[in-house]
Amino acid sequence: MHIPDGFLDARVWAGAAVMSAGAVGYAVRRTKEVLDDRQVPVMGVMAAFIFAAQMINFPVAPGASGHLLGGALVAILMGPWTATLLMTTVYTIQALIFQDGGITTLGANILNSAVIAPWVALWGYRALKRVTGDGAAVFLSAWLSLVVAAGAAGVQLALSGTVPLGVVLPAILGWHMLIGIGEGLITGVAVRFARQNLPPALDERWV
Amino acid sequence: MAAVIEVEDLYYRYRDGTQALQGLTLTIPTGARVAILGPNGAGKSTFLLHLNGIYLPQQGKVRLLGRSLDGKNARWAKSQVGLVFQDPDDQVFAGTVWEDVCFGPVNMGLDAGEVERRAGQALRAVGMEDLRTKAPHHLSYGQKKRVAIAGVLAMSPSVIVLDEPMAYLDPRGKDNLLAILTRLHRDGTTVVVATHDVDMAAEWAEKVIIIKEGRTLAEGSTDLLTDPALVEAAELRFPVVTQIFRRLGNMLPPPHPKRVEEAAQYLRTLLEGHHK
Amino acid sequence: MCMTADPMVQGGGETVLHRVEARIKVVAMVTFVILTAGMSATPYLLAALGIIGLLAVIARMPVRLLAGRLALVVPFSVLMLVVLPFTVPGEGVALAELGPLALVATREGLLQAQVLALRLANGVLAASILTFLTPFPVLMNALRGLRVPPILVTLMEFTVRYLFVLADEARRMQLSRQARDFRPRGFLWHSWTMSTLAQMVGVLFIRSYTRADRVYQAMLARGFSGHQPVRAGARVKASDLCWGIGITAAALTLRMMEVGGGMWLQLLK
Ligand SMILES: Nc1ncnc2c1ncn2[C@@H]1O[C@H](COP(=O)(O)OP(=O)(O)O)[C@@H](O)[C@H]1O
Ligand SMILES: [Mg+2]
Repeated sequence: MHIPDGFLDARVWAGAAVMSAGAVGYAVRRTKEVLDDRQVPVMGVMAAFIFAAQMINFPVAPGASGHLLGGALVAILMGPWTATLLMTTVYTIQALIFQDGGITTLGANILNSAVIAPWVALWGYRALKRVTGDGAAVFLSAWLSLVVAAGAAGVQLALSGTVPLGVVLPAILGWHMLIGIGEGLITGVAVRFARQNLPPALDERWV
Repeated sequence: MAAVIEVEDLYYRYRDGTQALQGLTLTIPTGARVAILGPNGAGKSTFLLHLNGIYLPQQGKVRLLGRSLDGKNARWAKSQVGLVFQDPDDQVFAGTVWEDVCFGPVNMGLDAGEVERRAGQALRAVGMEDLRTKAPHHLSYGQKKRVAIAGVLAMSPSVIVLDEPMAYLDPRGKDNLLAILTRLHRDGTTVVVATHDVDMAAEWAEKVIIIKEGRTLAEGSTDLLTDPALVEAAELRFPVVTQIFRRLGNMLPPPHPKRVEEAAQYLRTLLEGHHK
Repeated sequence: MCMTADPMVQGGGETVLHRVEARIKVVAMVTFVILTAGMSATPYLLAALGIIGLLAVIARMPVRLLAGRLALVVPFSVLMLVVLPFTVPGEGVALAELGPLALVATREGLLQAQVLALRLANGVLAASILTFLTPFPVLMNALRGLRVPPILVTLMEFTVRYLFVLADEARRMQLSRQARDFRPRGFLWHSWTMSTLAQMVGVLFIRSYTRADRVYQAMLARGFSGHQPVRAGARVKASDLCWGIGITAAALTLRMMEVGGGMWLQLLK
């Protein structure tokens, strides 16, 4: 879900950029209030973790593999604002240094993966936890976060007139509903594992 | 010799309940080369973090240059005691070697000229001045280690403390590091090393402090390293040189040598006696 | 991160373009991408690619590097480019028969695919020239100078620094699994594969987190208090400005001509 340059109309990418700038700006301020600046090194290393985790591939279907995106994982373990900052960092580096995702479309990519995905994951998790129990809630919310974020990307592409909505939405949603299963499974196991092994450290510092 | 660091009955307990230090007491003389020895989990790393005020005593006292460390003088402690962490990747974080070495002096609030002078001097002291624009991830392990030391030297501490400095270094890297430590010591810095490498301690230290389960087992000269009861109790082993002489059993009377040079001397005397 | 300007880190480089002040390079190349990403006439898009090529030549950027960058983004785009001609409504020009399925490629669809491919190439190549011309630490400092929130820039610096360390750790874990004959098998529902991979992610999280704590402690040991003084950037010279304005103006001219060209065509009709 790295939309490249030229695939979004100026109005769409500019609009998305304004929205994500607002969200990221707010996340920066929140982080300064809630955590102190001294946590920045810890967050930086954890953003590098997301990069490294994205290198681990899982098989999806014959000839296709996927990898974890990690937005839900960090949102559930480290809070949504931290997740927004970490994912923003990851997507910006991917665009600037690795040319993965465009420069004009960076705002849209951040909106989808660093704002929408973590928040959907968190809300989904909180809402589902009481109904389905913790494990299933993590799985479902991670799955949902990926699908919703992908849907947002599809809508942006269609709004730009790049592809007709009727074509892009089923394709992008279908694919992400499938790899979302991988995201959900991996997030579920990893969250449980992390909570078992790092309980005091994780609970005290992050909201 | 006056003591630069005095530790009295120090206790530290981690949040998960692990009691890492339980009544540690020891003295580090000014200008000495000190090795702190102990098996894994003895509490060496936990103790080192007390020396410049990152951990504060939960019970007991740590006195640095006569001042008892607490929250108020922790900053001062950081400028007096330089701590080199075991894994240089934990310590060398900045984008370039140069920026990393500047980090400490900038935090001390020094002006730009002084920061540059110190960073340059520190890099020269570890022989890394030619690699100052390199990114740390392009350096070898031994080079990163030297940058980590430079980053601490640039703060001109009166005590420099290294956690497991020899771990993972190749033979040349170890020699390089020993040479750097020897030079530092000669220039008047107190050098403290935490290690379980008894050979290094035997070769290099003036004083050894043996700890286990967060308590001091013994403090004294390197002769402690050849004391069978102590070595057994501390879960260490004899230096390789000593092992050879002990194997020869009653043929050679103790005290057995523990350093290569001592052993050579011992043998020389022995052989000369033989030929006469 | 360090207050003092180190001349060897700041903008050292071989060509004229390398020596242009970093902030100017960032602004010029981003403007270039913004302008070309909005173009839809093939000749102008090709002309923009020409400018990129010229810059690459002046910067002595190896062709291999440029080609490599393009190859990295191709998979995503190829998918779109193959699908588009058959899905955009318009006048049919070609027919692909896949068994019972007949697909009609439209002229509009083909054109759309071609335009997107060219825009994509422009964006990717412009960005890769920027990274080629600007070492990472210098680029980050330029972003600070351009008022990007310092916390984000610091985060990026940490991320790139530890990316290598943690990626190495992930690779070692994968190797040691392979050494015991683990390989991803089956698909998403292969529970052994998925749980093993998930465990790896979990372990990697823990290791990263404890590593993060040690990094933080090591910084405290050198007197870190949460504030990182900004390093002064290099002075902007007139020649730097000329380059920046030149690149921007070239792209702007193309864009204006494209818009203007369209109006001329309409007037003629
Ligand atoms: N962050 C921590 N949280 C909980 N326990 C810890 C932590 N760090 C170390 N310990 C425990 O404290 C004891 C002393 O560890 P450490 O000081 O690292 O010993 P050494 O450096 O001598 O190997 C060990 O039992 C270790 O497991
Ligand atoms: Mg240790």
